[in-house]
Amino acid sequence: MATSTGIPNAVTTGTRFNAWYKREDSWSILIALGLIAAITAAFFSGGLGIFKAMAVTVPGWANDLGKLAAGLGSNSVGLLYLYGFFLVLFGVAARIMGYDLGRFAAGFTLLFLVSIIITVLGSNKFLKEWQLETPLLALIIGMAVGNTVRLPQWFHSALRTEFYVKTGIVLMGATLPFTIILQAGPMAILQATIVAVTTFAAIYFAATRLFGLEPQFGATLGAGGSICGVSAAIAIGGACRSEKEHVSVAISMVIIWAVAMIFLLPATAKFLGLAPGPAGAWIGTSEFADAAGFAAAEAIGDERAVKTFTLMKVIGRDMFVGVWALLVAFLSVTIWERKSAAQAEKVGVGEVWNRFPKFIIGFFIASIVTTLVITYADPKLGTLYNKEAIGAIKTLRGWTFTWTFLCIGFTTRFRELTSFGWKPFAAFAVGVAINVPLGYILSNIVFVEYWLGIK
Amino acid sequence: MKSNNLMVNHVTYVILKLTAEQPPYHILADGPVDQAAVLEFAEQVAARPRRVAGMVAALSRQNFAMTFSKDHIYAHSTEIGAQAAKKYLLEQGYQDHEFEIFLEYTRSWGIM
Repeated sequence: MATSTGIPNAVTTGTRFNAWYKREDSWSILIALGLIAAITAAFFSGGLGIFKAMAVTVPGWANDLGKLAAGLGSNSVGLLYLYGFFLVLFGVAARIMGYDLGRFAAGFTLLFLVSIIITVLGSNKFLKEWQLETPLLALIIGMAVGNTVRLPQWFHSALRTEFYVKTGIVLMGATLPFTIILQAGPMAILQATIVAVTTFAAIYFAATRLFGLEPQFGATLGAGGSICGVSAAIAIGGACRSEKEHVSVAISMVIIWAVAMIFLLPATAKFLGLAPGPAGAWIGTSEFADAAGFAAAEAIGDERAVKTFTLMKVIGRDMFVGVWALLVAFLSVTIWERKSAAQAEKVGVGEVWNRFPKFIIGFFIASIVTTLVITYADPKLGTLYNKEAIGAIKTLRGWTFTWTFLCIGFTTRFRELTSFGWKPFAAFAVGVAINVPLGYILSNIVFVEYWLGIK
Repeated sequence: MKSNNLMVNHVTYVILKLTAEQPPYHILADGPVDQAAVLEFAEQVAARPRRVAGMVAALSRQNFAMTFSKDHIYAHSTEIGAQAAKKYLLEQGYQDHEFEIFLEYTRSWGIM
């Protein structure tokens, strides 16, 4: 619990996780904002070349291997820049965060090589016709390997799903005009609140009233199924002092359902012929984890889906995990422990900040910076900035997401999930049964005009 | 699912404020201001750090590590859970309002 004076960061994070510079959130923000600043400075000083080279895209191909080889050949220097640039940035961060730099570098090198193969395969015309584009391919291949082959320990050092996705989310902020955030944010918050409160209540009451689980366990399951997946299970599990085993079960639930939804939500959206905007909002409402949600939104194959997903997930849901933590912490020390507010342990409002996902600050800063640049630049220059600088950021964001999707695949090892009984599974399933249709109704019927308006 | 791996690590913090939220000025405000009242005031002001010292000793026996910042002592452990720490302190005769507990979980490996 936060004290009235707030907990010093160095102490909050303990001997093992220490100060701000030991946290992935901090480095995600620094790396992504640094990259945005460097690209912006390079654009205005006429030196964007290196970043344009780094922003490698693989052209679509069918069975014309010669064309593919030529495309890759012309991008080989760019790929080297891309590899070297991110190796240095992530490597420095990894070293300071306390990872073994040699192992991280070796692992990232392998991850990068696999990501090139996946991107090449994901650009294949025939695989695209089967809806097997880069995000799903990365997941499928990652999971196939991760669940059948014992991966070397040095490779594990570079499998940092959260690190890559947070970097990608901050970069995403640069590609999302702040005006859209201001315009759509309140709607995202409203829709997310309706779904999160309903789903949390459904899982919590199913867990505690129907299946007799402890309130703390019910709240941790409810948070995982309604707020922001694994991160919420961890934050709320901590806030209400849920047992380690219970947090692990909640995480297992999130992973199982999140992986299922990566495939089910985009497939259903396409089957139903949903427009990209509402489809992305639906995924943002009903998918359980950020990384998994980006995979599902990317699988829609339209930037609008990624934008509405981000608005829903990051602004509507992730941002409020601290508030949820405060409420649950207060419930925990009073009602669940049967104590009056006077007798109970103190719960400080600092809980909100302590559990707040800090990378969201980077997301907002990125959006504000690029929006200001476009707004105050000469119109022609602004348009060119949008095309060239933001275009490069968008491509680099795509690479961070590809590493994210591969990491999801490699780290989702079903044999290593915590064993669980039918009760938590059933309670979570009740939430899924409410969350998914409710998310569909809100995104595609009630607020559909809103989501269609996001370009 | 056969495995019973725990997917999170934890750090439990017990946060001990060295001074009372509000010094017992009412002793001086309500009664005659004399030597006895001031000594009583001093006694009550000193009572809080004495209680904290007792909790520090108790938590040290459970291998909590101690750090200090501003007017707080932070006891932390990666072995003892939050509920166990609280139960232990209550068993030792301390009350809920005398300490705060912050439990932080982190992913054991790079899962989503």
